Amino acid sequence: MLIKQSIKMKITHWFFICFIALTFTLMSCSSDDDNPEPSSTESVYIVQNTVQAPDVPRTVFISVISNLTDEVDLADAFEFNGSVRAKAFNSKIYVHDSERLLVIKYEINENNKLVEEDRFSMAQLGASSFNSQIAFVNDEYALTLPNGLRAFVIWNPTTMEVTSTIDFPSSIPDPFNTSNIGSINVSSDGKVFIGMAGFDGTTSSNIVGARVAIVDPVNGTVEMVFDENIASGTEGGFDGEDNYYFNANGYFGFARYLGNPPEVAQTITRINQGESAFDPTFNISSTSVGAQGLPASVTMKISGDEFLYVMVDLTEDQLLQNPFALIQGTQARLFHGTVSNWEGAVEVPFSDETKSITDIFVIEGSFYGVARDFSNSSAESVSDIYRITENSTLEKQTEGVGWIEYIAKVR
Amino acid sequence: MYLVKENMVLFLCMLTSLAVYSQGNILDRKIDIRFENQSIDEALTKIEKEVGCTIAYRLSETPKSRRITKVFKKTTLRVIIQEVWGSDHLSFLAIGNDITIQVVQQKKIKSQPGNLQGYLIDDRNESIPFATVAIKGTSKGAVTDESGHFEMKGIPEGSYILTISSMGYEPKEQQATIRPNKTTSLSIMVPVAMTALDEVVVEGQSDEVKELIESAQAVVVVETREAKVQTADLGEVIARTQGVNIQRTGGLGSQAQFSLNGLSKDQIRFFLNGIPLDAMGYINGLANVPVNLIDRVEIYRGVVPIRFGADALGGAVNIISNEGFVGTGGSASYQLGSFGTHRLALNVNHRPADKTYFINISGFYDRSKNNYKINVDVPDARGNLTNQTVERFHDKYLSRGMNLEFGIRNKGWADMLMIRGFYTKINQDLQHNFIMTVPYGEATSGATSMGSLLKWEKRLKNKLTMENTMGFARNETQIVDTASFVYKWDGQLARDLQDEIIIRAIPGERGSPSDILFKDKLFYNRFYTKYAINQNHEVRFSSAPTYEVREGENALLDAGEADRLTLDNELFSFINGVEYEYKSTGDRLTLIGFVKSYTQHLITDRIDLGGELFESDRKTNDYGAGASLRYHLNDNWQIKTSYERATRLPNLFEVFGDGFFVTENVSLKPERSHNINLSAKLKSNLNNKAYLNVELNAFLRQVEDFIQLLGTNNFFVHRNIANVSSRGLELSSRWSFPGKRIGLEATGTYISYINSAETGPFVAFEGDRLPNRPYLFASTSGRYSFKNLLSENEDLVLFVNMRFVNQFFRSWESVGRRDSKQVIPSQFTQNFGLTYTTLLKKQRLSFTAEMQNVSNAEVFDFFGVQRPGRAFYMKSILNF
Repeated sequence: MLIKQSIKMKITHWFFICFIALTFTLMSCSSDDDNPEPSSTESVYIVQNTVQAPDVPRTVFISVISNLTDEVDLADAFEFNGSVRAKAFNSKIYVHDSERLLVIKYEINENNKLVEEDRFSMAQLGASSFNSQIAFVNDEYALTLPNGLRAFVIWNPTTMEVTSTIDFPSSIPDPFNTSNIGSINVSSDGKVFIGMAGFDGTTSSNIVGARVAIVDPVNGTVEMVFDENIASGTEGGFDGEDNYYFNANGYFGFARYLGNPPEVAQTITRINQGESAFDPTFNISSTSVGAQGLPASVTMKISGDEFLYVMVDLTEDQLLQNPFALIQGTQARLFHGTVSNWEGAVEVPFSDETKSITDIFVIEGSFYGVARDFSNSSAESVSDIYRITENSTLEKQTEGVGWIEYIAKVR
Repeated sequence: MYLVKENMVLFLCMLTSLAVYSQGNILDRKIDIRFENQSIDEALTKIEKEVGCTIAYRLSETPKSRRITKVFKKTTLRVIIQEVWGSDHLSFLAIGNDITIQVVQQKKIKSQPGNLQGYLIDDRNESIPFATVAIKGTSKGAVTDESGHFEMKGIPEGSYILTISSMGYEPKEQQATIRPNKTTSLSIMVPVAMTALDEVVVEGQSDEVKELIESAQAVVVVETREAKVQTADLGEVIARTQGVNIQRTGGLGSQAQFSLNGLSKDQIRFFLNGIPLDAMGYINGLANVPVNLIDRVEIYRGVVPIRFGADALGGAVNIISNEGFVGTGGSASYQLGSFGTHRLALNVNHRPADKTYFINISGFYDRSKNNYKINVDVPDARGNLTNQTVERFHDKYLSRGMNLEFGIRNKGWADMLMIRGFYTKINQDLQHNFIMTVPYGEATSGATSMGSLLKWEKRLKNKLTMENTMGFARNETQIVDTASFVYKWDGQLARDLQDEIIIRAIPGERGSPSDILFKDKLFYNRFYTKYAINQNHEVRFSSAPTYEVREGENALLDAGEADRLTLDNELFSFINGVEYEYKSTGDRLTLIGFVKSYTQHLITDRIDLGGELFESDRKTNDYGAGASLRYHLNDNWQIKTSYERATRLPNLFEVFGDGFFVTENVSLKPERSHNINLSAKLKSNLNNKAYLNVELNAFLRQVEDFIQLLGTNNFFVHRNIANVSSRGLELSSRWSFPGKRIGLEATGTYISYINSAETGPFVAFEGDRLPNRPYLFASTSGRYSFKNLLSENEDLVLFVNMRFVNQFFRSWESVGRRDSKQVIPSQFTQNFGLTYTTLLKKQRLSFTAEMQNVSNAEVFDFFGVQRPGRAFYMKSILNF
């Protein structure tokens, strides 16, 4: 047997080194500029803008500026998710985040940068969200109302932790699930006045009443509940005498739309300092400030003896078709007057037919208004900030992309 | 763009990490060689020189006087040697580059006969129908049936060589021993011919797949052959396709958002065998369809054929379930692994070749605890936070379903008439809120789907084909959230500052108590016909009416309380299409043109401010058109281009709102888009060293009247708000090596999805990339096969799958300080595994062990919502 064997053993290898590279033009972006100019001696304001994007209904940006006439540049703003609200207190910024159920405290450093100092959660209490404003009483006490608790939460703004909760008294019945909180204001003696609406908790579709509660956070008590059947107010405030004014027709005629109960009053009412009932001599119909048709309140602010009031005029048909007519193109009207003479309020002229001033703020005793374009279902993208002069005219300060929802002086 | 930079290195590393080398079976190598009056010994020596191998044989066995003169072109060594020797009674043994040849001695045939039966399967675990099996040196032979089985009777006792041949497969010889009065059973694995592999984009064998890929349609076909033996679910498998991204909220059963070329949600339509997916029992979305019950997935990029009868803005996905099987057989698979995962799938077909009836039963059972670990901030009673790693404790998923088909075929009035019934039930826990910051301990959701369909097919004289499918589905979805306690991330009940267990003042973990049930009923008909005028021209027509009605109920309302959920919402849509196709002689050019018409009628009940019930309705008519072209430049290059003026009609919710917080907008217009694709495909065998298949696709989606929900804090409305431009490139590459020991695939996608709004709320961000959407992603996969591991019918396959998604912003990129931007971080995941397959007498058994997310990376598809870390799974599959 002969076996033939070749002596040539050539090893063949295939080496395959495989590349796929997608070629991209890398565009450099400018690096962050922290604006190193020290500004600790300058005034500092914050402006909160909300913008929308496809699939991302809200994103909040907080800008730090030195003057309300400065440009609000969102490229230099601090980004937050869309469920946050900011509030300035004692030279700090407190951002409460409804989505994460957090309160985060920031300091503004010498570079006008937000630097987180501390944070705490309210999720452990069983809260589901967190829509209400914060009421700051002093360095040790702040109050808020997370949804789903039927309790006021008292927390310490310095140590940033929950210190106690105050359950709703029986005079605030079950349907008051706190999901639609209106005004929340602190009197000079540290009492918190809270406008509350009651809704059918299963569908959030039926208003069942309204209340104003007065809470003493220091002693942990609910001092009083005003149970007259008035609608929730979107805003309230104290005059120089510490009398409390309550805008009792919130949510663009919400109570009227729902019609349940139909006797819910639409008024601006007053609780005089130290009293335990609404002032029966002060029950002003919204029409008293000169509006026509069916006025629906938007918001109100009091500063000293002055007030600023925003409302829309609606027809019956508009109300029947859509309770939220403001967002369907109805322009809001702005009135400026004194609490001692509501009837003498004057309408602040505003020449832009597609915009309305719908958010108002008091900064160091002066009124400021934010105008938004409601001509296209609230969907336009620029807001203007105006100062309301003593002569009831508008003085434009600055503008910003998106909706400006909050402005405040931090220091 | 700066986001790209920091990940480019990682991306390139991933793409190059599969660089490998390989050596295939030398007998399968194809060479060119010429012999001129040479003896066998001279000829074999020449082969050794040409190929660089050694050939050993018994000199005494060579035909001494034989001389050969012949030219061989691209012929395998095996065939050349047989020709040189002048005999195919040779057996070969190839080890590396050493070939040993032995002459097979035929034994004397004895008188007692026996029987032979067998089962042919290819090296991709698919049965081989209609293959020829012959006994060398005899006149005996058989052809396999549609299930790959054959049988021969009355074979005299002895040892034989079987020769197996079939188009698309390498020639195969197999020894068989026949014993008297016995039946010999064989399972034979036959390699797929490399030329056949070269013909398809994704390895596919059926004529339907080849026809689809060779058509002018902008389609990618994802075969599930390999996925069936691996442990990844369908969502992960499809996400390896170019242009496709799937974002998940968690583990098995979680919500998945599918996007194709940048468009997503309702802009993409999903089907099972051409019927809307939610009308076929799969109500939990594409990603959770059991992969073992389907054959392939067809992804139509932006241009949707008329037969689907759908208004799709950005494309369609059609899942093809196991169909057309002839014979009796099926498969059973069981998978278990991390996070308490068990997945069972069963599919049994009985379709006798000589009978006119057929039955198919399939079912699945999926269960998972989804108790993977996540990192969260855990508060104490006062709200102080510490970051901890915790195990998810309330995320169980249970899904089970069953399909039953019965039909008849080959009747004069019907080629096929089939009735199908299905039932699916899902139970799912809800673990947390949208961004994983608040744990839930009791909230659950559930869904039930049941229905049936009747399908009829008939072909007349090979010219006219008609099919009609009519069906009904009833889907119910429920959310129950009535918890009285507060849960912590460790699953324990929360306590207050006095260390008392907290009792919720208002039940419900999501803000308010709910026990809501939605009931959807869906009736549909799909008629489709095509007429071949001649071999070059064909016209088609489709008509698809659909009627849907939704109502609901709130179980928490007291008797007599008005329940808004009980109000009817009805939708009627009627979509028709006409299509024409031209195929040039020789199939060099294919051209398709089509027009579609859309009719929609929306009806809804609402309650006015006075509490009175009233009805709103809206009718819409619209049209669309498109065209596709495929052209073979030469044997290697093919180009395709396609265009559709696509339309998506707004749904009932978008037009009428919810009657409360989302207000109606009856003037809402349909979303429209110009969709354009242009692709070039290269097929090359790289001089027989490897087979390369590369496809580059460029696409454009110019969307107008983009529908978006907008509003203030509490009140929303859908509006046509913006124009959006999506442009991108997709690249896919596939390598197969001789002998198919190694296969590599890589896909990459870059999408420039740009806001081009000139009015409205997004105008300030014109030119920005649309946020919250991945725009750069890539996948690679590779496999190495050990053929005939311990015996001829045992294979071992090592495989790896990797995926990279570049980070993206949650909001507009042009605003917000970089150090404060909310980012969904980059993810790079790797899965490794091995599959062992053995052939039993008539069955194929596979075992797979796979580790997913090997590096235990923290993976996020949505902001803040962490996906599973490292996981280990095992899976066994029996095909019978």
